This record gives sequence, structure tokens and C-alpha cells, in this order.
Amino acid sequence: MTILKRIATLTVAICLVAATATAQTAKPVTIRLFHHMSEQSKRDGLDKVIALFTKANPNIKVEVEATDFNSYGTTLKVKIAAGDAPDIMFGLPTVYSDLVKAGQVLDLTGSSFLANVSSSSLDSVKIGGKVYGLPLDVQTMGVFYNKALFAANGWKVPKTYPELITLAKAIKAKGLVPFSFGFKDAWTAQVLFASDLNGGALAKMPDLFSATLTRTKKFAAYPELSAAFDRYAERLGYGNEDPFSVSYSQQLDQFATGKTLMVAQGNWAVGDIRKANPTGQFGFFTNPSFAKEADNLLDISVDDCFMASAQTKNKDAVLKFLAVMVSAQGAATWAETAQVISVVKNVKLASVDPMLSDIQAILTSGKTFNFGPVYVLTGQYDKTFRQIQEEFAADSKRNTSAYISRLDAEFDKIKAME
Amino acid sequence: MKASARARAFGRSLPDLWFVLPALILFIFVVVVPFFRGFGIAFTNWDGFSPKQTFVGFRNFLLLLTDSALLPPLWNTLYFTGITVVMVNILGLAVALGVDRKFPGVGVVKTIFFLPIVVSLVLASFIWSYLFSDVFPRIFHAPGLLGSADTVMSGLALICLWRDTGLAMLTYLAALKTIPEELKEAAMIDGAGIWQRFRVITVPLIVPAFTINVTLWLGWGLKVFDYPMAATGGGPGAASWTLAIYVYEYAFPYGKAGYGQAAALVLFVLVFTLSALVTKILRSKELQS
Repeated sequence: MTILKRIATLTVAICLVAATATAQTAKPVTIRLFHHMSEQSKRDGLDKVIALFTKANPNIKVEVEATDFNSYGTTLKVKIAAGDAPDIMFGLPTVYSDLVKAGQVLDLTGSSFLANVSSSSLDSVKIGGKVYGLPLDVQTMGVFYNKALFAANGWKVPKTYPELITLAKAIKAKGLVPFSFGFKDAWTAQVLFASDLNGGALAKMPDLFSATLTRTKKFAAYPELSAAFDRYAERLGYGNEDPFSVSYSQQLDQFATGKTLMVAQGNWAVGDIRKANPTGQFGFFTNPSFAKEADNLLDISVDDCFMASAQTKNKDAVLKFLAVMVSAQGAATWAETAQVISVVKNVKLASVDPMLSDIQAILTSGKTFNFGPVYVLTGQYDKTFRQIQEEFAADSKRNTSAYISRLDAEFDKIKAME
Repeated sequence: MKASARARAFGRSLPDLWFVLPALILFIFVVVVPFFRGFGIAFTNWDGFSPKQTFVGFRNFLLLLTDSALLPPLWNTLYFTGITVVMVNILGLAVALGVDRKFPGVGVVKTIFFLPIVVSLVLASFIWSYLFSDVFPRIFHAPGLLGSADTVMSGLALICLWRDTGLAMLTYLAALKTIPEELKEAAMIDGAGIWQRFRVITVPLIVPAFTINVTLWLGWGLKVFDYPMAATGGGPGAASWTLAIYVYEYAFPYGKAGYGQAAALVLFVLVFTLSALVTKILRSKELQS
């Protein structure tokens, strides 16, 4: 009897311990995600993917923290330094290479879900041959145009730079405004330049940034760069008046309502253009740089990307979440809501804007240049390079060689401070 | 005896010191301690967040003083300061003279001129950047001043004039009220005209107000950060960078806290020297008058 009692007590105790252990494994886990996406469509997309994930994994909660782009890098580094790193961090490993070098980013190489992602986009998130980020979509910059007004006037999509200038002249001769400029928000001026430089032009000088960054070569040694600045100056002559008083949204409004015929912008503008004119007929083409059609390539690079923290205590939960982001359903939800071009293979979308279809057609044709791996400027180098593009647009004299010399002088100075 | 008298005097003034103490403690911890701790940072290559910092001697100062990119922010700062010090004082004094008399609605006029100072500086910058980008081009068919590298500093100075004239007016008005009526009446009886009365009586008696206003706007102008930051973000490009924005950009976004701190120390010396010099000159004029 006593022995039986003891065995019974032991059995109950073992069961209790086992039950507690099971309860512990099913204990809710919270993972923290930190980002700086400002577009509402992207925030909505993230919420939808999280909802999809928590439906399948009810014991894992995803907590989202967001800040603005300007303070993101500093805040992230402070959090990491304080041992309070978010489990999932927004950003490209190449941009946060210092964190990768410091061992703060989880190596994702070999994770099964990476098989869903296109290999060219994975190349953009590799450092030393290892995958440190999960790319979701690509971004591209080019020219949106008003299909209806083009057709009404018999104008064709320009395939070369001389054709673009001839077209701009023809539009101007009709008393219309060729390009929509809105540089009040500063970065918008860069798009007119970068949509030219980062495509075919950069393909002709892929070492531009790596060589000037180490100061082994000077910007002045690249005639293609000077030519890109000269084309920028020429394009700046074909826009609306007083561009620095016009904001980004006004720039898109002017275009969407037919006041201007073209606007140089990125694929992120599709949602806003559509909002300004839900029924307008708009298309997209590569911003041409050269007289030879084959030399004109569309610039592409990985846009939204997530990295996992090496500090995370919930590695399994984090990897599960990343797997959902690039699953067929997760990627389709993201691409449809955020209005982006997914890098996940065979994503089936229910509806696509014709502007995005045009972009997709160029991507399929392969007439693209992935500038992500060669654009190695970060921090002050990156900011200076961008700032000079804005100043160039604001300067009525626009002396290319003076700006190239300034770029060299500024980069020399930054190097000296290291 | 003497010592005990001194002790008694100290004892009597002790309650006064107690009143100063909270502000003094705050000042020490928020201004004095960071200032001296920051002094050392100027001689390192600290990035602002990592625990590691290396001593680099005077390298930051040498780089700063040979940096040609420092000249445009320096010129912008001096240009902004020059315009605001002169124009805020001229307009402030003119308005004060205008409202220093009795007429129906004088209170309303004073309030209208003083109202902009109640608006926060950041809000004032936003209001004006909207006026420049949406109202000026559409209604007056004139380009907004903030959109061009050539006119952006004048545009920012205009925002400052709109906001600060009321404050300058208030100081001058207070000074004008201290001028005895008998003096003005005596001068009038002696046949002195408006200009003569202004030059010989008003100006010498309101020199203390000049000292306050010129020193204040000189200091604010040399340190100006908020107007360009809120209205243009330092742009277009870097066209409206001031010395304070230069310091900020290096200390924070560029992650070069050591260099930024060195620039901040140079800016401090510049503001301190210029303000001290101008105050000394104006104070000597007060004594003469």
C-alpha cells in the first residue's frame, strides 16, 4: 500500500512537472521589430503580414517599433550598445556593415526560406559571401509619363537620351511643361540625377564608389560622371518654374492632373500618383543616358530588407517570422498592400497597377543594372554625395567641373577625419 | 568686529542665495558639467555612441580651421546676424516710437506687433515656408525666397524679423517710458524739431535698451539653428547651413562627435568674444551719455 502510494505520488509529481514543462514551451513569446518605413501602405503591409503570422503562431507576439529615417541609425546603435537590440531590424546589411562586422547581425546563410528569394537580390544582402538580410522587394527610379497625353500628341516613349531631349523640346514648343519638378523636400532633386547615374552610366564605371571611397581614384578621373552631371543640368532646363517651392506631393499632383507630362520618380510613387488620379493612364520608362539604346539600363536595388539580431533570445520565433514574410502568401500580401515589386519567386498578385506592370516588363527583359552591390557609400560620404546633387539643382550656374572638384575635396576631408 | 559684521551680512544674504540655488544646480548640471566634460571630447575621434575613443590631439582643430566648407556657413551666420541685428532694432524702435503715444486702438496695435513672438519659433518657420511655397508664387507670382540658394538666408532673416520685431519694440517702449516728459516739453518750448528731439534727447537716454537688444540679437544670430533647421533643413543642398548646423551635422548625423565638439568650442569662442566686445563698446556709450 505504502509503495503503491509512493508510486502514485511520484507519478502525479512527474505528470505535474511534465505539464509545467509543456506549459513553459507554449509560453507566449514576444519578438520586437524596429523599422523606419514612413509610407502608410508599407506600414499597412507589415501589419497584414504580422496578422498572417500570428494566426499561424498564436503564441508568438510581434511588437512593432518605428521611428523616422533620420534618427533610425543612431537609435538602433544606441539600443544595441545598451543590450536592448530589437530581434528584427529593418535595413540593408551593406548599409549597416559596421553592425555586421561587430557580430550584431545573425548569419542567415543556409536557412530554407532563402530558396524562395531570387538569387540576384540575395547577392545584395551578402557580406563576405554570407547572407545577413532578408530582402523583400526591389526599388527602381525612372520616368513616369502620361500615356493619354503622349498618345493624343503622337509622342513616343524615348529609348535614347537624344530622343528624350527632342521630346522635351517638342513638349515645350507646344507650351506644355515636360518634367514635373518638386525639390522642396530636397531628396526629390536627387531622383532626377540618380535615375540616370545608377543605371547604364554606373554599369560603365562600376568601381566609381569603391575607388573614390578609398581615395585610390578621384571623381575627376571619371568622364562618365561629368557627363551624367551635364545631362542632369540639361534636364533641369525642362521643368516647371520655382521647383524648390514645390513639395514632393505637389510634384506628383502636377503630373497626375496633366499639368506636366513626365516625372522622374521611384516605384514608391505609384500609390501616390494613383491616389491623385485614380483613373489616369500612366506608364513608366527607363531614364535614358546614352544615344545607343542597348546602353540604357534601368537602375534596380534591393529596397525593404530585414536583418535578425545576433542578440536575440528567440531565434526560432524570429526565423519563423522571416519565413512567413517570404512565403507565397506573405510575399503576395506584402507586395499588394505595400505596392512594391517583390523579390520572391513566382508571387501571384491579384491586381497590379499598369505603372508597376511597365516596371515589371523591364525587369523581365533583363535591361537592368543592380547598383546595390556597387553603391558602397554610407554615412557622411553618402550624405555629402547626395547633398551635392541637391546643391547642383539649386545653383543657377551649375558648373560641372566645380562640383566634381568639390566632391573630391569633401571626400578627402572625410577620409582625413577617420 | 569686522569679521563678525561680515558674517552677519552673509547670514542676512543667505536666504537670497537659497532662491538662486535651484537654478544654479540646474545650470551646473545642464551647462557647466557637460561643457567641461565635452571639452575633452574635442581632442578625440569619438563617433558619439561607441565606448571607444582615441586621443587625436589638435587634429580636429587643424582640420576645422583648414576646411573651406566652413566658409559658407560662417558667411551665412554673419549675414543673418548682420541683417537681424540691424533690422530688428530699427523696426523695433520705429514701431515703439509709433505706439509711444495715445491714440484709439493703440493697445490693439501693440498686441498685433507682439503676437508673432508668442508663436513658437518652429511654427513660425513652418508658417513662412508655407507662405513662401504656396502663397507667394500663386498670389504674387514671385518665387519663394527659401527655394533659391541666393535668397534663402534673406528669407530666413525675414522670418526672424516678423517674429522678433515685437520683442525689440517692447524693450524700446519700456526705455521710452523712462524719458521724463519735462525734458521733451522743455525741448519743444525751445523750438527743437522732431528729429532734433529724437537725436539729442531720446537716443542718448535709451542707449541701455540698445545694449540689451544688440547683444541679445547678436548672440541669437551667431547661434542660429532653429530657423534654418525647421524651415529648410539647411537646404537647398547646404545653402542655408549656419555654424550651429555645421556643428550639429558633424556631432550627430555624421557620427563625428569629436570634430563636432571642436567646432562647437570654436563657435563658443566666436560668440563669446563678439558679444563681449559689442557689449563693452555699448556700455561705454552708456557711461558717456
